[in-house]
Amino acid sequence: MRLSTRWVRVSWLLVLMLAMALTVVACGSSDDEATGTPVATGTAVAGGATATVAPPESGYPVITVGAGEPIKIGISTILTGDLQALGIPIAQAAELAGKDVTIEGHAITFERKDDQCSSEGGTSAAQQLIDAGVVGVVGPVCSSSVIASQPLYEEAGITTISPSSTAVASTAPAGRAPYATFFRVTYNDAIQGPALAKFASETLTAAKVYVVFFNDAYGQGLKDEFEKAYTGEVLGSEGFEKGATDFSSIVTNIEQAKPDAVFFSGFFGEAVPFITQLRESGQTMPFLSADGVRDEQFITLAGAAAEGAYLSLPSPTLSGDVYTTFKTGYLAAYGKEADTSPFTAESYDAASVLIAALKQVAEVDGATLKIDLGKLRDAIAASDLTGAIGRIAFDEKGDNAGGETPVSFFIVKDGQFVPFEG
Amino acid sequence: MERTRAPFAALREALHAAEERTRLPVARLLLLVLLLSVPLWPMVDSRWLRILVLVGIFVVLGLGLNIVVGYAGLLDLGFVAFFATGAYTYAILASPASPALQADLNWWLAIPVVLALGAAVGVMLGLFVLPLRGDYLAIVTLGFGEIIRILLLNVRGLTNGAQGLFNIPRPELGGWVLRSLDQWYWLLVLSAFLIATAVGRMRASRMGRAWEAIREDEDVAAGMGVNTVKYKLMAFAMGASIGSFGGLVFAGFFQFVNPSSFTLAVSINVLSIVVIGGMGSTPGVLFGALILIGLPEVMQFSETERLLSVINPAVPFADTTDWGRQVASARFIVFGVLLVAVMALRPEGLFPARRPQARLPERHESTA
Amino acid sequence: MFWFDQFVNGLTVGSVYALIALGYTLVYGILQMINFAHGEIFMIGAFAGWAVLLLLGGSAIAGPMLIVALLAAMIAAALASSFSAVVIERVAYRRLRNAPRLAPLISAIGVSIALQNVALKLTGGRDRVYPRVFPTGEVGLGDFSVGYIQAFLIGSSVVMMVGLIVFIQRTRTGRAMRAVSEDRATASLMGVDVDRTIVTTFIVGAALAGVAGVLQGLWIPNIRGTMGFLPGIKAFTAAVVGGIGSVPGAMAGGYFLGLSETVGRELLNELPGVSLPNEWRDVIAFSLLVIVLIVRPTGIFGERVSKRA
Repeated sequence: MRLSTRWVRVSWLLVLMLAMALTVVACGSSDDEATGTPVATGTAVAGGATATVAPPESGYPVITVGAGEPIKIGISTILTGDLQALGIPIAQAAELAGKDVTIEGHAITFERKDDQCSSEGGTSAAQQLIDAGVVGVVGPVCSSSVIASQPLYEEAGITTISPSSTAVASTAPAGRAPYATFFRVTYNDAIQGPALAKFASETLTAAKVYVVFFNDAYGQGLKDEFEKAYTGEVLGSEGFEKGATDFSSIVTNIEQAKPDAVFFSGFFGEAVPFITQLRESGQTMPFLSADGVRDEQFITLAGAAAEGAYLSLPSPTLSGDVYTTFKTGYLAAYGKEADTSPFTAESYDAASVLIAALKQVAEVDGATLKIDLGKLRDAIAASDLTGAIGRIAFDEKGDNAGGETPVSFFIVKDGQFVPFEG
Repeated sequence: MERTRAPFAALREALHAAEERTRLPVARLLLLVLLLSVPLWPMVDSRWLRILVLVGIFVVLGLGLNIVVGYAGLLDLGFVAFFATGAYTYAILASPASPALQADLNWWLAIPVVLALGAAVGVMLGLFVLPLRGDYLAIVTLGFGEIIRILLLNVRGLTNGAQGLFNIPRPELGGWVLRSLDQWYWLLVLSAFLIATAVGRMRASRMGRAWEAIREDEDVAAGMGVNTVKYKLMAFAMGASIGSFGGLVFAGFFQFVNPSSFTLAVSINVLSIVVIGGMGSTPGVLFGALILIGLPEVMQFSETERLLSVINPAVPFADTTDWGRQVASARFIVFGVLLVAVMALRPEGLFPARRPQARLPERHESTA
Repeated sequence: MFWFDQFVNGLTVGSVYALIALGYTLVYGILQMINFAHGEIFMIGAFAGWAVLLLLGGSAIAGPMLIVALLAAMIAAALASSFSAVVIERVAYRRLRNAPRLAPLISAIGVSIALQNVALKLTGGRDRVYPRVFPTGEVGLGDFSVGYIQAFLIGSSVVMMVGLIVFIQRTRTGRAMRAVSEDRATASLMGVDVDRTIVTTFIVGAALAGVAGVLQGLWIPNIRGTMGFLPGIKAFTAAVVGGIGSVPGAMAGGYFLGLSETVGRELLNELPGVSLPNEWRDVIAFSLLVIVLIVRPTGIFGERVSKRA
């Protein structure tokens, strides 16, 4: 057999290559140990959680806004692809906050850039915004864009406020101090996950749950936090991919396992087929999910199947004067309700925080306006204001620590999200 | 037409003569100098450079796939697997977020590791698909790419799952850290040049002729005594090795990898680059990547938006926002239409490959 | 009945794959090209059926009107899909018939990307939902019961496949299609109108995909611009597993893929020490694909491809 001798030879080649690779790895690591020098980057700070924030290496620039020119604020969000329905309202909400605002006679304009919810898109949008001379950025929307673009914004000294990045890593990067120039308005998975777990075991009195999760950064992250905190038994944990439609196999497994409740970690796009198939197969156990599903579209699309679903939102129940102002303003400007899409109020607040800080630090210099981005960053870090989602004040890592009851629960009743009190 | 062509012909003649005289690839060296000088051009700012770095990564990927598809005629729809191999190998061995091991591998030392591992993965895939042809090969490679991506998502102890691996160190050599965009750009131009030269040599060698024979007709090639198994595996190994290097650059440049960067869309993009450029053509890969990767980004530049806003009033298209913004958000429609249009107008691609011609050192043979 | 239910689940999703796969295989048989935009044809059908159902009263549709509405939706979907396929064939494929092999593939990818993004732009990226008009409930004996909608989906796809086989085997047009797929040049010499036959093939394949779109809409409810991509890839896989170009192959491939994603995965889970939750579904499907193709390099029903590399 000619072929078999070839295969033998090729296998040898494979083994050889692997051996070579391993040797080089071994050499590589021992090399570094031998020299033992702390590598030039010097950012490795132990204990990410309590680490202090390091300032950007190249310092903060001062941006001069010319006479009669507007102040530019960047927006990094999703403007194309199947998440544009999430990204465009976020951009609109931010723009609403800057409408008719003037600072020392200078208007505010917004530069929208498409980050496509990806790491490459995030960095490309970041570069374009930096080069456009923005003073600060609302966004990025997705955690993957945030994590990839943080080094760029940090180096440029431009502060970003994400309305919606919930990954723990955004404010607690591994192996270095949190980024000085990153803040987020929303609360991270580490707050929402345990609250959901507590809700499942105490309010729903579920001793056994079945977990279904979207296999991406958001779904995996939230599911992990949930499972870590949940005291009962997790009967099964099954993932699905973006655009999944057929959940029948999972539903059959749930039928077999007989859990007390189902926890769904993902977005409404896949929650709709899942809950429809679950309910139509005759399963009536409680359905619990989070912010990704708490979207008006979940109710319109799933209809009767959505009735009785429990959903959490990592923010207090939205109410108050600022929220009303935002809601009416949004309806007037764009002709639709703000709460039909998640994170619009957060985006409005992110822009408001940025604008309030701008008002504090902008210095008139003849006909021009000088904005020191270092002072701007410090003003944002020190901000304490009441926004549409409640009080906003950042902790030293850049997380929003202002809210008092950060997780609220809703139940779908007669086609509406109704606040659910224990 | 004739008038515009004449200066090019003269230029080509001059270059040809210079190459004959000096025995150096003068044309290629000139192109290299031209490409290297790009960061010094007045209009090129960091936005352009960042896009050019991304284009450069795709040029490297395109050069790799070109061997597999363009030279050997093996339709690979899962090239992203090799890209991911390179990126994740370095990320796992270097990222402080890596859950399995903290090897602190230096980027430069990672180059041989990644090249070797890439080749090994290529041979492994090659062994699986040896008996398959044409579209059967295409679907198995597509599946292979998807399997790799799902493994990256699900083998979380090694890859950190969907969260990805972050703070991957930049290339560092004796205290000097590669960080500015122009340095990355130069690194990519130089490595793409080296790869293109190496690939060009392979193509002109015995191996290249064997690939061509396999591409034209595998059975006949085998009948003529070409060791098809060996050369097919070589094509996969070479292509995979180059693709992995692209991944290594990607990981070092973005300092962050997660599985959503390694989807089927990458394989499709790279294949489109190769075919739009002209299968088997090196300048084709360069222009294909410039158009397919660069254009969608340039279409959302503020200048483009402003430029389009000027024509805006003349066209009844806009609704609430201006036309520039509309076009920026519709740029993937344009991208799709562009693929159709280029294929309709130039089915062979923009720069169809010329067959390599053996040239004898003495001139007296070619007096005609 | 766990296993019976999983089997039905596999058949349901397999039916959708099979219907789409037929379109791939028919076009491949006749043009040897991968019609990458076929998933978008499926998407267009789903949207057309949705529009018709809404026009006829949406969720108010009931009683005998339901049968009329479902038929109308399927016919509209078949028409819209066929029309799109004819336009795509004319614009993007026809002039590439004698071009290098990958040119039509790239052109098809271009069509697919453009159509997805047009649909996303038109819908603003927001999902649409099929009115839940289909009666819910189960049919069958005791433990062996099937949901109405699943039964309807499997049943209609079988009817359509039988119809297709009869069409190909018994009609003049069907014979012309077979002739062109055997040998285009000779068929043309024998008086077959090749252009017309190719267009007919596209129409037949697209009609099946369009109806599949409606069936899925009735089952899944929400539809969107990118909904065709994943099923398109799966159906392409199914067509290849079955032996691309072979009609029974596409059907077998569809069911094979559907069953391996459901029953296959659960069977593996029965092995001691194995735990493969749903996120491994595609790994199992693609691994089985590799195994099948290694054993039979040209698919289950495929003929040996000798010349084409």
